[in-house]
Amino acid sequence: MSTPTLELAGIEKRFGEHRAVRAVSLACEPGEILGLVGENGAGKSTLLNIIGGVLRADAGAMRLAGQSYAPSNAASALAAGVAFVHQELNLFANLSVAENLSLSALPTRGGLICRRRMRERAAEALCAVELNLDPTLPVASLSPGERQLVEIAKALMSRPRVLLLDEPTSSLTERETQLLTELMQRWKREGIAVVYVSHQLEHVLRHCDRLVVLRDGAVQAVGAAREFDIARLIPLMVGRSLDHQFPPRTPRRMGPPVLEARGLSRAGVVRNVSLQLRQGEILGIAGLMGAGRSELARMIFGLDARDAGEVFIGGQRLPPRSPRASVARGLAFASEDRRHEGLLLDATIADNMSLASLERFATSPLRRIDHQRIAAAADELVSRLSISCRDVRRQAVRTLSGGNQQKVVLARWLMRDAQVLLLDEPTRGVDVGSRQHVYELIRQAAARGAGVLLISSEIEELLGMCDRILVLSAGAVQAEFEREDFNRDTLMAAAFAAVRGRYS
Amino acid sequence: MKPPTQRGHFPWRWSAPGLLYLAIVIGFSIAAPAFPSIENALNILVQMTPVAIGSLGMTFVLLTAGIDLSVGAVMFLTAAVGGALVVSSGWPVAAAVPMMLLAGAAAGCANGCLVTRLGASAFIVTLATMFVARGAGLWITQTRAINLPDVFRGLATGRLGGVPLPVLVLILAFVSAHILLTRTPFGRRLYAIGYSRDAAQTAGLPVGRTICLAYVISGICAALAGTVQVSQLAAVSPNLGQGIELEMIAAAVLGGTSLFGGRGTAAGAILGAAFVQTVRNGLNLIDADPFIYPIVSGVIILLAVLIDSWQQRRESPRRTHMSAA
Amino acid sequence: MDRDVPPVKRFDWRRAGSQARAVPLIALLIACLLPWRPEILSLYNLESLALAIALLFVLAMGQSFVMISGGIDLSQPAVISACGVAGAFCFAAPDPSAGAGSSVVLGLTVMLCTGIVVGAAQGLAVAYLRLPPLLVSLATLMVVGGGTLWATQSNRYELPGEFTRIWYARPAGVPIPLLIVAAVAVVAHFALAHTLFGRRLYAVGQNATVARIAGLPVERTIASSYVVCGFCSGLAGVFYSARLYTASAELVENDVLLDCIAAAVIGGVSLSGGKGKVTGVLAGAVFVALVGNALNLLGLRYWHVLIAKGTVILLAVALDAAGRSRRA
Repeated sequence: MSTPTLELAGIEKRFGEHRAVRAVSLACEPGEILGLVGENGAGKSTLLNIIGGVLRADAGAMRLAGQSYAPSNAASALAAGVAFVHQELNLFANLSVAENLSLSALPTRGGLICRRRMRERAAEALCAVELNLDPTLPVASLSPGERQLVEIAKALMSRPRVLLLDEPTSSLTERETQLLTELMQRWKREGIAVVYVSHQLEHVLRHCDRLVVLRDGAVQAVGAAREFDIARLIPLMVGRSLDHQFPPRTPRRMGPPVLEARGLSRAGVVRNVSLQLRQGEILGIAGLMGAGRSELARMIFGLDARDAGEVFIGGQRLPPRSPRASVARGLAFASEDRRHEGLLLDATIADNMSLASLERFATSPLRRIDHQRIAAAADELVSRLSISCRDVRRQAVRTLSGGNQQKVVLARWLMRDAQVLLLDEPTRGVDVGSRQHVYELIRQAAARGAGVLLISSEIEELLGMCDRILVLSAGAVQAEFEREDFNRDTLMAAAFAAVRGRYS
Repeated sequence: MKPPTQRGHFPWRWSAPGLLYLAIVIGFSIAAPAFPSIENALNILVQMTPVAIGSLGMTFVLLTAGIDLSVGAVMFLTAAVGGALVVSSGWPVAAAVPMMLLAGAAAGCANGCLVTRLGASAFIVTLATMFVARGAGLWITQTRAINLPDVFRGLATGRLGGVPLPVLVLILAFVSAHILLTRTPFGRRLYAIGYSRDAAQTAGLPVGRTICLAYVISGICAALAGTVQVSQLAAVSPNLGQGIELEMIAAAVLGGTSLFGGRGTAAGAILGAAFVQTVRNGLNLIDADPFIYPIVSGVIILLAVLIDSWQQRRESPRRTHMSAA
Repeated sequence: MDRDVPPVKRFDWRRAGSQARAVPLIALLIACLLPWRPEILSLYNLESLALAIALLFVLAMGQSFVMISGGIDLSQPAVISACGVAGAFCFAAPDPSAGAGSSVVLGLTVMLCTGIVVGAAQGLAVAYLRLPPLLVSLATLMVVGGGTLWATQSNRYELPGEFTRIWYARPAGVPIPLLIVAAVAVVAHFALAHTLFGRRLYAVGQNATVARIAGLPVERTIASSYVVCGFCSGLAGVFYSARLYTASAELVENDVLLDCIAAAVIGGVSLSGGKGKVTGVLAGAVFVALVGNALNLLGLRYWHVLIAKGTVILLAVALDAAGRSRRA
């Protein structure tokens, strides 16, 4: 039979005392789509980095089409035929698309860049991903989905034998995800081996040929994708069986409106959006990427400017551009960009948690900070939220996993007892186990009377958690669904509604 | 596909300072009749050449999110070297000038290697080399001024086809810088590195070498600027270039170069230098109190930066993070 | 399981910061010089060294507040001179009915207030107008420097004896400047490590957006750091003018700015903001002042001093880098 394009045997990798990858062996045939799933910290990214030449394995061997394969860096991996599309986009926004595509080997003539050849090369590459763009455009003007596709185009340019995709759909719209699926089928036909890492289990199950489940750095299970389903996968990934993904809904009494927005608008982003959030209610905001969901939340919170509209908390008007006033009135905001807008990465866990409540710990007249009380409050939250860490006072938040980091962000607002939580993609990049905790926390907060605005790109999450869902499309409220009308297909249709009109 | 959004190609970041510049030119033209003339324009060009050349070199360094505080001291050091060669060792000027440029390149190379190898901030490294270069220059000149032969002055006052030589040097420097930045792989890599050092590293770009070369170019520009300055004064004085690095940085930033790297053009550097020199020239022509000069320059810089910042905020309203060096 | 958490050691070098490294450097420097110039440890030298450290520390401390907030203040030399001159103007037009003592107090107040006002202006420009600190402080340097020069028309002003006696007074045998510096150090440490303002300053310096979302008064915090720096410049203006008996537009050379930034950076204050401690700044000031003092004692010429200072800073930076890579 044909030799596997990619073979790993007994790969080991440690970081200090921590064994990130333990005796991992797998094989990927030509034209096969191999799905790699596992919680955060299971070793998926480390494994990809080893295959992609970014990291060196401590032990074990790799073979590429039967030949020994041991790349010393990313460039030699690429030269050998292994292309790695990272999760964090590696494009340079200040350069053009064409320049980005050819950057490591710009075509020159007499020392100067030959623009014609560069443009041709770019057009060819973009064609391979069905992206119809002017290659001289600066990448800064592209949407995140377009940028991801350019990254994929760049990887394909080297005519790889193996393509490593790390969370490729995280910045793609539904339509672009569809496109990716078609491309993957095309790659199958061309005999490229694809290793596909994703948290979106339904997508993986639907489109991969075989699956490898990692847990704690070791392979837990390997098999054809059709032999797995979510119910079987989760215990393999997490090591315990979960009855349901979402905490059971208990009937709650919802109080008067705690947040009201009227006529919020900003040119090109949000159009005349009005909404009401009641005490104890979890309101979901659905929509495609670019529909204006995050922008809406930021406008309500006061982080971004608005052209028109008012926001009321408990009946009182909120100043339009003052996060400080918003926080003082009980609002909380968790940005989708946790690392850059959620946490002070080099500060301690205690510092991060107490950031919004500092006045509480400062005693007059000199405003002396009570470090002991902060540490005590932080410890209490750590145990309440099951955050796995060592020392709240000395440990930097940077060392925590994505799930634990997100819990720290939520802890910050819980410490303040916020009454309105605006959560933007709170489970993005969060492993299954931590996700459960986050859902629990949201439920508990709502049960205590807080209103929660939940923005999410995962329809299942919204369907499982929310009491009501608003669908935004092209910046305007397209539809509203009460619990009894929840339906995946009508939701998606609503999300697409205005878009189709615009794009046709 | 996507509806056509604002897909701008050229960031007209300096359009507002450009308007301010126009306003200043008009103002001075009204106040001083000698201002709006070809002779005066050439005068401005000649006077601004050292700062303009220096800010061209500074642009290369700023693009990598670095900074070169040693430029003024390197100007002095290379001028001291040249002066010593010509006056004490009797070298002909034609041979001394290339040596000066070489000295500048060497100083730049030292800067570049230290910044890339030590992994320390360029601010503190070039701060230190500024001390060392100034000291070395003072050593060579023994803190005395060197008077240069008249041949040097010929470089400043000579003309080719009616255009003063310094201006020709400036044009040459500008064209070279522009081509380097926009049409060579090296230039494109500079922008990439300035945007994200990590991404550039992952992409396999020769980051260390590129950054080092940026500092070498800055050193060469410093030497060239020193040569022009020295030819205008026909002497090497101990405080040559003192504080000029801040003027060059201001010129580059006025012209749209970002201190955080990844953004900037050669044309912007020239325009920024023109801005500052035009103001100085205008003040001179209206016989302003010499003590006023620094005040006015400072106020103008503030105004230009204010306008630029306001404009930038309109374009990207999310930029709230502020940082210095 | 905290499998993705590296164990936290007892004494975390990463958090100890650069001040821990400056100390052995200082010891090394003294050890090297002792055989050649034993007078380095003489009481006379130690005292003049202490006064030099005092001046540098006050300036570096002010600069550090600004640097922690993520900015920089290049205008310090001009502000120092301006404060001195403002005080001199105040003395030159005395109120005949008041006694000599009150005019000293008035002069002091004017000097410090000048610093505060300039600092506040810069703070407003950087925080509320969102202008880049490098250029704002550069413009301030030019405007204030030029303004002082214009106001004095390049003249020097003698200061009254009652005022200059500040510098030379010695309650309980300790020179006043040292007492004041000790007070500054204590207050600064308390402010940074134990107050609301300090917590906010560090947060804003590390990531202003995160701080803003958490509801912190970002602009007010940043502007305040410039006010503190202005106050420190004013205090330095008091010291410099008292020491020199005169006030003029050229009270200090611009070299002092570089020394002060070097002291801060060697002391562990990060140029990108969010990091820095008082003990570090003190160690950095000691180090830089010691280098200057040592070079003086060695009888070197001015250019030797420049070259030596530059080389020393590079060495300190290299050692810092080597230490960092060994630990990584």
